[in-house]
Amino acid sequence: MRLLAPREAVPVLLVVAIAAVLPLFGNDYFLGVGFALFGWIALAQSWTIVSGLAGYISLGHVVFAGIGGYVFVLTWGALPVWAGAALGALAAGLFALLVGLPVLRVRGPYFVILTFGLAEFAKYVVINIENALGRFGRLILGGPPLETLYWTMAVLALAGTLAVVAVRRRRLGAGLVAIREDELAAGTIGVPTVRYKLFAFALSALLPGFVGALFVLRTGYFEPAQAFDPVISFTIVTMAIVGGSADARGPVFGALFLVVLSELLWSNFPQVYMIVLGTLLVGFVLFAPNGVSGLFERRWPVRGAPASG
Amino acid sequence: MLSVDRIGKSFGGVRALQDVSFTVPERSIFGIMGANGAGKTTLFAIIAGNLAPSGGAVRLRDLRLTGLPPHRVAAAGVARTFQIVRPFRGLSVQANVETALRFGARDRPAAALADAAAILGLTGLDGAAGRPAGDLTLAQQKRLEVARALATGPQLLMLDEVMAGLTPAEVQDTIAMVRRIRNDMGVTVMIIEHVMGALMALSDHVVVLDHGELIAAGPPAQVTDDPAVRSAYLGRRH
Repeated sequence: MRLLAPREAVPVLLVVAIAAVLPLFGNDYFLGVGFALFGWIALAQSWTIVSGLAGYISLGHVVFAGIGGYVFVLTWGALPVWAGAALGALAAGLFALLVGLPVLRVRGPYFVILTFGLAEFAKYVVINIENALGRFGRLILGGPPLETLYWTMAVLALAGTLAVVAVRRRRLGAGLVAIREDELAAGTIGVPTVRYKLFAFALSALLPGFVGALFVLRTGYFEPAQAFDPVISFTIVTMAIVGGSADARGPVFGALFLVVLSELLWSNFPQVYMIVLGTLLVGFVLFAPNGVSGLFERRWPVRGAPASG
Repeated sequence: MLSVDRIGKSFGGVRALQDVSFTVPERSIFGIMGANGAGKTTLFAIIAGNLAPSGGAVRLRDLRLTGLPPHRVAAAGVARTFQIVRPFRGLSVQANVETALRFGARDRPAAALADAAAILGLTGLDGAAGRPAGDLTLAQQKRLEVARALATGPQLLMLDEVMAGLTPAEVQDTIAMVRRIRNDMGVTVMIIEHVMGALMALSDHVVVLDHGELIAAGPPAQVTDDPAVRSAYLGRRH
């Protein structure tokens, strides 16, 4: 395997460096912020595989975290903690495989709406199951300490970042980018479009399933409306827009930017948080459509690199 | 090498192709003539697997192509260009070709060009390698269509109006390029072209489509003398 190129090394090193530095502050606040940051990085990297590379913009990626969290909470007590979380990840991947074939037949805005609707549908199915069982939220007591959760999430963020780097290097990544650019032309030059899209979709669901289980462990309870909260999907997309989604840098920049911003704003000016977020989003869409990493590229172009993608 | 057997295609009530049959000989340059709307591009789309025919079958040697998805047809060694160009706009010219090199035919002919630089050289795009494909002129994008199709390592290359809108000098260059693709690389070429002089100069065999039906087939000189062809192009009283 050849060494990491700058656009690959920067996000990998950034994740490792942040993971190493935050515990040095020796207080739970920083571990908590780091846990959230790594969760967002893992989610946004996963999203990048299907939405950034293949161009199928998912507005319902929370569904995989929700399913992961739900399956995890159902196995709570019956399975060891990490086996339950892994099962949650597998369930999310399996769900993506099952719904992927019909869902990935539609493109553009139809896919966006369909993924959003699918996530809402899954949310109400779980709410109704829980109501029928007479359960209104499930408590998780005696989970691993914050420090363990922190390091696990850091590993997931690193795994997501390396996954995007690896996919981009392989034929799979080149094929997904071709699908994004022109799906008919991609098929005609030999890209197995249906298989690649489905594989990318399933791949992009695995880590979010695991992240969902960790979210449940962190909050200490499972509640469907929160586990399937569409704001999580919107935030992933916002991070990709702010950071860029052409490679593994974007999600790290985007997540870092939004998490730091929200920590600063929530603690100091909670009433303007959403206003600032909305303004930023509009600003980036209008003036920096390739996000922060696109701005870097324009400022310091990499010689000999392909134009994008 | 390619046999088209009683291919038909209807779009709703419109019959785009009706009972079209012909055989493309190995290593030939095979011209397809016909007025706009005669069904030429539809025929290419059916051979490439982009469209399913309403009836009939296409075979490449012993392999039945009909019913295969496009990527399997490409893997079998069939490539096409798009008359209305479809480059990967956001990628560089080089990346367009490199992507096709990573996919395409499973068994590439020994003489197939295996590196992007050689393909860009042959198609005259070496000066534009680093530019985004979307920024090229239309003439350059047509050449990129050829470059990307060649990069799949095909045994059969289908060119759909790659000379439209070119200057006479560019047409001459393109004729020379198509000859090299056949003579040096051993690729069988099917070509749709409205630049009639070029088609006549290049083709060993020609078929003529008129309103979805095959009305003539043979060597170019013979086909252009055919009364049915003359009336299809010029009207019945001329």
